[in-house]
Amino acid sequence: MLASLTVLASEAPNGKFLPGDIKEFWWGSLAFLIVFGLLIWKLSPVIKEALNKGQAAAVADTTAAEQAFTDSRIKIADATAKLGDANAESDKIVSDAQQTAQQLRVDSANRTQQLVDEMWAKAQIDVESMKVQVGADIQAEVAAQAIGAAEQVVHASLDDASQSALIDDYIIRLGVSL
Amino acid sequence: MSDHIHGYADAMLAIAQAEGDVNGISDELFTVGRAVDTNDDLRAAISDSHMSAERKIQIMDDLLDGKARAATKGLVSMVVGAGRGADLGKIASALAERAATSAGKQVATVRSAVPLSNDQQSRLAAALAAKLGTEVDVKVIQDPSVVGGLITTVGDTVIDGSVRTRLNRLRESL
Repeated sequence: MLASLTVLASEAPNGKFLPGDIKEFWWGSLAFLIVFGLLIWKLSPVIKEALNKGQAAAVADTTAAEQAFTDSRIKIADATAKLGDANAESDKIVSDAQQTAQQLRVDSANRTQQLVDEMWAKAQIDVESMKVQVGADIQAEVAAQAIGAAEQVVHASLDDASQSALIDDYIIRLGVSL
Repeated sequence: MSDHIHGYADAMLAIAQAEGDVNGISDELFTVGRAVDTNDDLRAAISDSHMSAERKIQIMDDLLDGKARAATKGLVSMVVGAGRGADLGKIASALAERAATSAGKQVATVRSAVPLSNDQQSRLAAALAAKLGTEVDVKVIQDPSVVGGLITTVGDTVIDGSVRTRLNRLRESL
């Protein structure tokens, strides 16, 4: 618009900036004002609405960004908390594993000791049993040897006369026992 | 004891009485029965179901040839031919009991490692008769396992004076 005024002014017959006819100036100004007023009247709400929309959009964007930022912080905090929980859980698992291993060692040692005790007790019983058995075997062997020796002596000494004497003795004792 | 053993013993006693020599036939059959009981090969031979009766009878005839009365051999052949050879010992024992009973006696079975003399048998029979209150017919069985002394069985009564029993007692006491 300023450029138009400049062109119009340059076209003035007096070569000055203002037209030669002042009415043109006034009419021009009036037209300008009318056009300007129309612009203000019609464009102002549109511009204002556009500005408001832009501002609202900016506010919404800002709010969304803040919300996203907040969500991110929350997620970070949550992740950090979870990480802390995971570390604690890991420590607990390691601790439980150590306790279990220790308990297993103790149980294994107890079982081993119990097994050793049982084997020792059984060995003692076996030894005692073997003592008795060996004693009985020796006694039986001695008895068998003694009986064998006695039989040999008896057989060697049982000649016809001895046999006859035994039979006679039997008959005599049979008569005595009447 | 089975019925057939009693039956054979009764029949043998009747035949021996018919022959008029109960004691002689009974003694010989007792000896033959004892031989069958103590000789596994002989008992197996006369009990063999695959061997013919004629062959079994021939075996016993060969064994008794010249050693036993004809009546005794005939009775043995009868029992063996009937397939009762394995029971000859039991039948002979039953016959001895019947023969003794018919004579008013009891049978005394005497086991000895050595044979008894006639004098010893007589004195033993007298001692047993005095002890039991009845006459006894002594049947001697030679049994080396007795070792020495005698084991006398009369009915259910056993009078054991054997060396074997004394050795067994010694073994048990040890």
